[in-house]
Amino acid sequence: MIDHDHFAKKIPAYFDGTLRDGEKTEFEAYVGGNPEFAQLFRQKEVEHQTLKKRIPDFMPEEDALQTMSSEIREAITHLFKDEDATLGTRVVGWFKEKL
Amino acid sequence: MKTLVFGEEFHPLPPLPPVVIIYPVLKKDLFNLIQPLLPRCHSLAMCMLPDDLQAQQLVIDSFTQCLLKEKQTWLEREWDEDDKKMQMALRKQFLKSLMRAIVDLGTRRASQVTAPYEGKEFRQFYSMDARTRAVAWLRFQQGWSLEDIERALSMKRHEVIEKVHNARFLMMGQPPHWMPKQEATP
Repeated sequence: MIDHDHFAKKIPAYFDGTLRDGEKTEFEAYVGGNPEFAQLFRQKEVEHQTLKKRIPDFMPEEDALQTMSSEIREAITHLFKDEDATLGTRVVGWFKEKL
Repeated sequence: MKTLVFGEEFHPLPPLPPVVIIYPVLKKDLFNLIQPLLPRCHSLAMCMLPDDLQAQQLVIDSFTQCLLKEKQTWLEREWDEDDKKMQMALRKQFLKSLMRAIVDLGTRRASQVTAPYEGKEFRQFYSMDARTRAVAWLRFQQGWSLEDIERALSMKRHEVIEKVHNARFLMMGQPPHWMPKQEATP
């Protein structure tokens, strides 16, 4: 029973991948050798998978996506502009932009 | 055909813009590179601030901040339109700095928002603090490893572990809305 509690505490760490190699092997061996514990492990595994459904994943609507895209396009435009460009560079840049 | 009148100024070309883009190809490429990240960023922003307009603004500000911060990197970068591997690597790198910007800015803004979350869904999730919500979203919704979260958000390992454990405990504390409730036994 002491072993059971000891390994039960390690279940979340196993899911997070934070167990060291030795600990992980020991844990997997314990799950493999104890059907009762394996049942508890599977139950926790299902709970772990349901966590995703408890977290929102709101996708933006089309108009919101458009608004954000145009704002970002604007930000990129401002990022690459050159206030001190000579007339020649400006004309070349303007043509490149149009083409 | 337009007739010129003496004294009238004639413009054969439309007036030039006051400033000029000197990297037009790079500009287009950069937009195409980062635009697909928008839906994911919006989803994280909604976790930080559960209001669509505030979340949109958070995404825009974070993108702008990241672009300005890494301007030199973008200007010095060799661009190859056909190199998909390089583009993926760049997108991943940009995504990580974006996530950090959204979490940092979002945490600050969330602390100023006084109105509680009013929705019925995800109440348990929104009862957690903003940074824990972000870590939970990255870990459980996006499947990021603890190392990736640690690096992207510049957090210490024990802080990430603590937040992941807290989030797991708090969210499992109550059955989710979609799970059938157990009948009370007499």
